[in-house]
Amino acid sequence: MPKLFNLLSSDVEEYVLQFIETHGLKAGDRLPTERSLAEELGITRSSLRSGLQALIDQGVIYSKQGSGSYLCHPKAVRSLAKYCFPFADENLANKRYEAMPVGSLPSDLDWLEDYLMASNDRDVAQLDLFLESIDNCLVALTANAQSAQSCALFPNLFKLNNVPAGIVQTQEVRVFDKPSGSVSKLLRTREPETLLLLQNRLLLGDRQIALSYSICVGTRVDLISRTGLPRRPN
Amino acid sequence: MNSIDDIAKALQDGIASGAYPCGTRIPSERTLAETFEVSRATIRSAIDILVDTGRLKRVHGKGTFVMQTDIDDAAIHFKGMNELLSRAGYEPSSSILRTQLRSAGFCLSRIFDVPESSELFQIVRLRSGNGVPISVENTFTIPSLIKGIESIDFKVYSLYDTFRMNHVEIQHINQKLSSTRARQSNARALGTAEGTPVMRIQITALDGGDNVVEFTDVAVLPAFCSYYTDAIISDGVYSINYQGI
Repeated sequence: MPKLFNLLSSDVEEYVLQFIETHGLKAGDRLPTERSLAEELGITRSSLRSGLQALIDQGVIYSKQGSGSYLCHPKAVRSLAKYCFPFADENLANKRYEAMPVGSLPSDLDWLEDYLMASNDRDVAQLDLFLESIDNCLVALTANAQSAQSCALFPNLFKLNNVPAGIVQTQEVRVFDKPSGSVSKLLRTREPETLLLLQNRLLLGDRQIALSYSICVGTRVDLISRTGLPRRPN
Repeated sequence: MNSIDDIAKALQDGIASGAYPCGTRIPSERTLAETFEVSRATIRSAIDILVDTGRLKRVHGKGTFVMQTDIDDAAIHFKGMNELLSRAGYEPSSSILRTQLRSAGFCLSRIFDVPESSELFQIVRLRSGNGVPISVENTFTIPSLIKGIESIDFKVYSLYDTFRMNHVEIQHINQKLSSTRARQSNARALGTAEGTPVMRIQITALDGGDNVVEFTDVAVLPAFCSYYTDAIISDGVYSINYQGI
């Protein structure tokens, strides 16, 4: 590759992504040293570092102090429409999806139980708190609350492999910005990783029957959706 | 005017005219009953008719939302966002940070399925509400799709307007949500500290032949994620509010 000047951070990202593909790097493999990458690209170490920082922010690579940069696990793909119903999500069909119960709410998440209660009209007959992982990579800490009626109608609502007919969901996705030591510990997130919060309210007719509150590692998952636009009449 | 069908037609006309825009709520049943001088039961039955056709959707605790319009146009993609912002009291505006022709390169060649050396047209746009930055949208499209693309003022015309004028018809929009941090030029444009967590949305627009016609990489500030992601899922159909579909 010829020496280039004034490379943008995005050019560095492209170069590294191309390097990863052409060298068939796998999760855990180390990238060349900063010095050799900078030399190869004909740029300064600090220019190189901003390109690498973007890839770290996105969850493509991670940096180990004194040791270099390594390739992260490939991102898991989940459907937004089926987020609460992982067993109905075709993106997870050939992956190893696991839901591991978390015994009790850590003290810095005390507010979560009150919040779920308040959001479901104080009608929470069942509350499940669990860690989700896909192909051995932790991706979310999720709390699902079901009303008494929904427990009777759909005992294992969130484990169904088809979304029941008649259920309407409203969904909100936000950046999760409530700092919490226990969330980082449970999800084993590294410092630069960032979190998203997904809230899904499940409605049957006019009544809310369940609520799903999921703190998802946005740097380890891609949440996808597809919308078709109406055809224009001729 | 007092029959259920009359009210249903009035609501339908209100939607078609834009009085009740997509992605927003219609007035409450009580207000509608007062406006049309009928009982709430009549209003409710009229709404039921529109709910059956998918034009309205009731959302518990939030109201009744307008879900579809007669406007079969991808331009609703931007109009919907501006409507949502206006209704929330934010005067929407945008500024073009840069436009340029550039070669596709490694990543974009794979998204557009074109050679790495082929040229793409880039538009970087800062979206604001009441002058407060909301998001940076980094858009790429195929220059040959739009006549005279380099001289179009994208502050005046949205990309979707220009697609329509050039008979490019968008059939599907794929979105990929993740998170990242705002750095350097993005952080400066968004007026936020270096390293602020932001939501990342990668939007791919496809035409009827499943060709990618546009790709946009968006970084949204946490306070404004709702405008990009609030959605309703029903019968397996995912409807995102700002697209008004």
